[in-house]
Amino acid sequence: MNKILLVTRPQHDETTNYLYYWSGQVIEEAKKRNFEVLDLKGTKANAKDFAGRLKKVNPGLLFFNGHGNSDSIAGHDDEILVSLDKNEKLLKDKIIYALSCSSAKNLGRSAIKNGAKSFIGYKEDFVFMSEDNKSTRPTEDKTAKLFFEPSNLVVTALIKGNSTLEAYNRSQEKFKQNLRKLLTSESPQEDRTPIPLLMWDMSNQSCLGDNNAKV
Amino acid sequence: MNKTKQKLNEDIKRLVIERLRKIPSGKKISIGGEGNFTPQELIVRVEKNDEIGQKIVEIQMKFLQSFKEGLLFNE
Repeated sequence: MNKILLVTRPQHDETTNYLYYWSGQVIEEAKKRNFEVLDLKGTKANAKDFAGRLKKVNPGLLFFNGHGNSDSIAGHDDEILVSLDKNEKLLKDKIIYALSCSSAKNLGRSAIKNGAKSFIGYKEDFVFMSEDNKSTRPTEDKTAKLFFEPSNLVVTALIKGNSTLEAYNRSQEKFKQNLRKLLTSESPQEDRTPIPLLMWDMSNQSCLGDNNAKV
Repeated sequence: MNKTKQKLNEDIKRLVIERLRKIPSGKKISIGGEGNFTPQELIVRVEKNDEIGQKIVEIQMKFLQSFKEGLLFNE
């Protein structure tokens, strides 16, 4: 598989702004590892550019950031990039990580049936807690870090040559580490409030398709 | 809905609201495409029992259930 990573990262509301900045760390890591990165950011995260780049460059690894539902993943201004009846065939032979709500439920399963190698995503809404005074500097938000660090590990593990199952397991372990850290008695009570949300994301993260697939 | 079930649902709502009250001000919760909410906004949603409120109840109850199931500590 080629060392080309395609990232979609719209930035049109508070949630996508967080996804935009945190996915930037994955992009930096990919570049360090000599990956070619196709960065469809902001308004570039649209269906035309998405389909065009996939057809022209054929990246092996896709990292979606954005809103979604069980049947689709969206880009800028919630334009559908891929769904059960749009662009799904373009996912054939790809390894996919979708930080996009509920997409592992139907779209992920359907993508695997239609030839995608592996699909890691979430069966329900991806939820996170953030600090109001960090909304302009999301990567400095230590509360949000509890959620985005495990998420980012999926792709950083893949670009380091791990299999999809290994990448999923690393992400799960990071979720657990963060949960344990918050559960320790030394933590002040106020720091424990993200726990139910972390638990939710961890238990809804799902790895479908070929567990041994590698980039 | 029978009275026992209604009472149980009210007890669950109260429990979730108490848990939401422990979230410090200055924190927000993002729920997928539904948007970002302050703890106070979520309390109102739980009281109204709308879609967001039901989602928050589901998240909190799943967390409490996970202790029973040992999900976090079972390797």
